[in-house]
Amino acid sequence: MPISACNVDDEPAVLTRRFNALHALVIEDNEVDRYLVQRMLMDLGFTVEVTSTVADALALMLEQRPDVVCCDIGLPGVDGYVLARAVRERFPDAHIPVIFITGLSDEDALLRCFAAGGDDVMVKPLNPARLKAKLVAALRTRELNDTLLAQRDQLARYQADTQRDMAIAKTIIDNLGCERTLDLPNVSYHLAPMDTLNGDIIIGGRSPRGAQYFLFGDFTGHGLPAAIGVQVVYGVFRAMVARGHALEQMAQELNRKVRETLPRDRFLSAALIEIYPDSGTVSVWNGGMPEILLRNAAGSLRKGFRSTYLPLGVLPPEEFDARPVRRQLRENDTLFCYSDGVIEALDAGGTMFGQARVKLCVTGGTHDSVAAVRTALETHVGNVPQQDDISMLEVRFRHDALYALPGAGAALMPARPATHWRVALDFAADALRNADPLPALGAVLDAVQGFGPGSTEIYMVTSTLFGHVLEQGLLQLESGLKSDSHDYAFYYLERERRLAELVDAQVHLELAHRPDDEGGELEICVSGQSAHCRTQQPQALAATDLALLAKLCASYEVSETCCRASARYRWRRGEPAVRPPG
Amino acid sequence: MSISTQTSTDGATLTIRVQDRFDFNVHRELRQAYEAHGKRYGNYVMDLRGTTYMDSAALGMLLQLREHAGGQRQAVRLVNAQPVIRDILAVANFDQLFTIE
Repeated sequence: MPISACNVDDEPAVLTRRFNALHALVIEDNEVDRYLVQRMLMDLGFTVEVTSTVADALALMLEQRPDVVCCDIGLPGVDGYVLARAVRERFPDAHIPVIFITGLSDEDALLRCFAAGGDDVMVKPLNPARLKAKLVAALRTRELNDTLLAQRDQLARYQADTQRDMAIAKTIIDNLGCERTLDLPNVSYHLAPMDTLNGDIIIGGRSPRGAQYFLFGDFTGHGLPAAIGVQVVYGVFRAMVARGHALEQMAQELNRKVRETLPRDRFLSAALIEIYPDSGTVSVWNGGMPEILLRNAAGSLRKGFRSTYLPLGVLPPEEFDARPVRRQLRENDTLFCYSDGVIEALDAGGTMFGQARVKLCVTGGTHDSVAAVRTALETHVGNVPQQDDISMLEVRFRHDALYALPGAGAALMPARPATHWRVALDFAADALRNADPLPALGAVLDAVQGFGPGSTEIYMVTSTLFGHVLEQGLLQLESGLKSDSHDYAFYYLERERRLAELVDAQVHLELAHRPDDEGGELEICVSGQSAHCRTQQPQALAATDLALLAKLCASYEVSETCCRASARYRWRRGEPAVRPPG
Repeated sequence: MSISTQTSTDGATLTIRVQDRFDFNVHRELRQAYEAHGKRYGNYVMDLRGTTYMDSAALGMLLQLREHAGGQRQAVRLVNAQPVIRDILAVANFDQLFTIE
């Protein structure tokens, strides 16, 4: 009921107002006055009960709640003030107007009427018009009170509903297990949501190829809309990592999905990170997150990864640029990501924590930056309430990290007997430009031989051979550039440029499998054809690639022009899927 | 009132000022400010001189205004932003969508 409904009665309404269906209780020991009050109330439409003592009145109230009480002050035994208090106690929520009827006219007595909880005082002699006026006023208060109570209850219900919905949403988000994906030996993180539900999101993942992936994001706003966004993003990210898609494809797909599902004023500021433990390549796509800090083993900051793109979900797919920034990591380099909640955290004086303080905490030593920033942040904000979600992630690069990842060590090669099969794929230049053939390969390995997570090494070998034939063979890129961090960006820009110009070229990929005594043997062969391959110009394999092939393969062979590369890979039934280093 | 508007004398440009905090609380007011006149202006100017804080919801509101203005980069200009606001716009790379002066 809107408040205005009981705010103002216009004049005719007051004059003609009747109180049908309302119940009045009258307590008056004087018989004549009792009759008069009863008569007047009945004329106004009330149903009326009368009594001459407070004790009887209390008993009557137990049977029927009155809508209004008219009460004499001086009564035999207990006086009217006691009754007024009893009415308030018995019906604490419902405001039941109490109008005192009295012959007393001294001011103290009047004040005591109100002090006892009375709404009004009617000084005898009784007069129907004055009584009506007082009833209208008293019931107006009562209606206002009822409205407030109804609104209070409604708000309480809304609040309870919201809290319940938030709790359910939180359970669903928790069950997704975003945090479990970060339970990695080379990762530390901190998530401190402002409300029940977090608008920040951190997810980790590991591709069949053995690369580590992270999504570090911050949704517009908090609460349920952000939680729904987390659902969408989590599903896409985990599925694409598991299928072995490259970072560019993930960024493209996440942008499309966020734009498709969220309203136009909602988006996801995010950084996507891809780290290859074997080569040490890190690729970062940063759209709208604070600069990702890159610290070397000695503790000093190198050039980090600034936000160069609009957040996910802002641009339509055709305008979206998914190209990441690539760098080379060295042993014990760390990447530190944090949400703007860290920068903008205010102290008691209204000063932000700021980026400079973050950098100061991260610089120096090989300590845990997450712990360092948390400590400094806690000191900074003191008792000031948190204004935004706060999140941090630190990833330490170690060549052996791949082998320590959960799942990797525990995964076993298939127990089912090896079989005979052969898979061949051919790619022309346009297909090489627009598609990454390797994710599809994972599905094939899984379906035919049930490799599951055991396909990691096969993946690594295949992608090394494939990348080698494509980059050194067909595109004639000098592999030496890849190992120097300064030329690294150049290498990939050049790769992109030459790939765009590639015509009249083909790559043939063939995997042939046969069982042996202990498991199986897979022969992986990649051969390329292009104008370059026909020139017979020699090319060299990158040192890291050589080391990888030497470690994982029974034997391997690379042609001088790099246009043909093959390897034999052996696996044993039930053995760990990834062999530890060394 | 943290949102105020001004129409240029030639009637082609609507200037919107946001005082103090530019966050979700001004959502409705801002929308009303640019939808009130029932027409689309040729240019929109967000004057951020008095804006001291801006969150991601505010960035979202700018995207909505941009769409309302026709979706071109020139349609909405963000002017007079203080350094802290400029930083927020820079991290989000909003210069790719808006003219920032």
